[in-house]
Amino acid sequence: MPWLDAIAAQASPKLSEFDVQYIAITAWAYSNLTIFNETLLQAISAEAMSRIDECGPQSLANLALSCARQKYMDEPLLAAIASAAIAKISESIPLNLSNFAWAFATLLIHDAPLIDAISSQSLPQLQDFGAQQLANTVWAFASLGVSNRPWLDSTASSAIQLLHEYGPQGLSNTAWAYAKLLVNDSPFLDAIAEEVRAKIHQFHSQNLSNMSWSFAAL
Amino acid sequence: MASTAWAFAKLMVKNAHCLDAIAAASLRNICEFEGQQIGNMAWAFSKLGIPNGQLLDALAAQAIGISSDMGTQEISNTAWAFATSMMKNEPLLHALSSEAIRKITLFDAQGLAMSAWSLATI
Repeated sequence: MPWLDAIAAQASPKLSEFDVQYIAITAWAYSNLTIFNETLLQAISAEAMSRIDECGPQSLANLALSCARQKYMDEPLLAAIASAAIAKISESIPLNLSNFAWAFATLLIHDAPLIDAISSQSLPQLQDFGAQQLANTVWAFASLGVSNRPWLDSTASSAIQLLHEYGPQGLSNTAWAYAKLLVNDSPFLDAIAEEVRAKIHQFHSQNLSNMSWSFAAL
Repeated sequence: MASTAWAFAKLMVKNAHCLDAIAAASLRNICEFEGQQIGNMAWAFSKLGIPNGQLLDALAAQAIGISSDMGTQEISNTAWAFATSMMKNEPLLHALSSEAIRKITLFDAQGLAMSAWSLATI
């Protein structure tokens, strides 16, 4: 889109004048549109790196999400985001925590201190997570092979209350996660199965085959 | 009128009766609206989460007519307001886009970032 090209050209050399939150919002916007503008991304990366300590959890999450969506494997930036996220973890709300988990898992970066920080920060507030946030975080942990039984048990208790809000993708990803981690929580999986039955007409072949695999694996 | 709506939004006062009256009066005088008033009005109704389809359509039509007179903040506020209220209006987007590109060097950081956000959200 010409307007976005003009914004990128104008913003790239002037990012030092941006508040960090606007740098992160700009990164988020281009990634949401899957517009890969390398000049802009490099400029955002350099500027965000140099001012990473000014970023709050929301901006850190937007930056991490943008890298993940763009498949932009910028290791120094992602390491800086992870350290800054750990430092700000106590200020992070469920949306930020699930975004951190989803972004790093999508890039297949297993940053153990970050994952530990996300687990400890989320555990006492899992009941405040929305359906999408729970589904994304569980999927992320399983993708990275993080098997934290108390966390998975608490997540299941929160998720079971919200299963009516889950769509096919959330249900199949959640079943897949518990199967991959070999956590056979029967009441939770029964509840998922019940929900799947009620929504079966919404399922595509990919969801159906993942779901079958998960139940078979357990 | 636009500044009254703007003030209500800034204070998050959701007085539906009053805002309905403002919308109705605005519709009668829409052709007198200038860039700042269009941006403020669209922003106010979106911010308060009470999008008024008829009003937004009329504001869009007026914005298209006077887009060459709109300043950069009016352009980004209008784009933001339409994105927030999930009103995708292609002709408006086209008009704002042409004006924004023409004036791109005048945008400040916030205007650039919020325009990008709006285009990604709309």
